[in-house]
Amino acid sequence: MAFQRQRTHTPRKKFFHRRKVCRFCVDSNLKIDYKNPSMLRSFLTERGKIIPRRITGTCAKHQRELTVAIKRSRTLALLPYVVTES
Amino acid sequence: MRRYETIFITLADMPAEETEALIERYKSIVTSLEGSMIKIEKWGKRKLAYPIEKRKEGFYVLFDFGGESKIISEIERNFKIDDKIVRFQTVKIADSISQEEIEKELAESKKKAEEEARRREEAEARRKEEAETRKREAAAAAAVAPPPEEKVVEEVSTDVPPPEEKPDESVDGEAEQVEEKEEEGKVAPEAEPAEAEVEVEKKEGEE
Ligand SMILES: [Zn+2]
Repeated sequence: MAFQRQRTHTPRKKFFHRRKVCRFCVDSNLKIDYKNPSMLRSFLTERGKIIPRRITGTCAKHQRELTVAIKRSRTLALLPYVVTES
Repeated sequence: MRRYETIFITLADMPAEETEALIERYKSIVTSLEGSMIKIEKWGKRKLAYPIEKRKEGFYVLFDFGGESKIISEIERNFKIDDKIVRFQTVKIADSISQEEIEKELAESKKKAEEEARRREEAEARRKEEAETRKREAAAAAAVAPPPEEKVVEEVSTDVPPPEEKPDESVDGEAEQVEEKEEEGKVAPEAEPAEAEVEVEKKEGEE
């Protein structure tokens, strides 16, 4: 009982608690492919850094695949290592 | 037998025949070492995301093939020596691939190529038809309203020598040729490179 009460009373975080789900788990048609830089680009910051999964919501497994794909893509100059403003 | 995917970047400013010869040479390395080529994709000229050896563009080629690892060491040894190769990367796609699977893939990629060719032909026919109707419409418009036509001709003739004899036709012909050339360069996969190129350009514009 006490446990339940506590639970109902615990205030949920109000700020921006939009639960994000892994895009690749949701859509099985969405393939992680190092040959498709335009898709990978949505997981990079404007500076070209890989966005952490705590922000994108990607699951650990897919984030691992994603980083490998992005790095392969960078090797082939399909994606940048850094984007410097000039 | 394993399945590999090799992408290499060669010089973008090379004549087409030379590029073809180079691709043929590397293909022969694969086949001479008992590899079987599944498909070759020519992505064509693309902007590089960062300059490599001061180059801003590269010609991308993809080899998809089955074979043993000795092919990789041999082809990469050659890539390293070749100063026409800007960058290369090989990725193992599958640990084993059987001869039947290769044959199946071959049949599929052949079918795809045929479809692609047919689609291109259809697009070509459509373009021709559109050009025809445009020509006819222009002719009709000219017949209906001659005074504005004269004005236009005058304006044009100030910068360009007078193309008085059937001007429509010559213009159309030129436009078509340019379009054809563009398509030849991009035989590549699902118009994917073109899309990426646009995005790269957009990014630069923003900066
Ligand atoms: Zn996932």
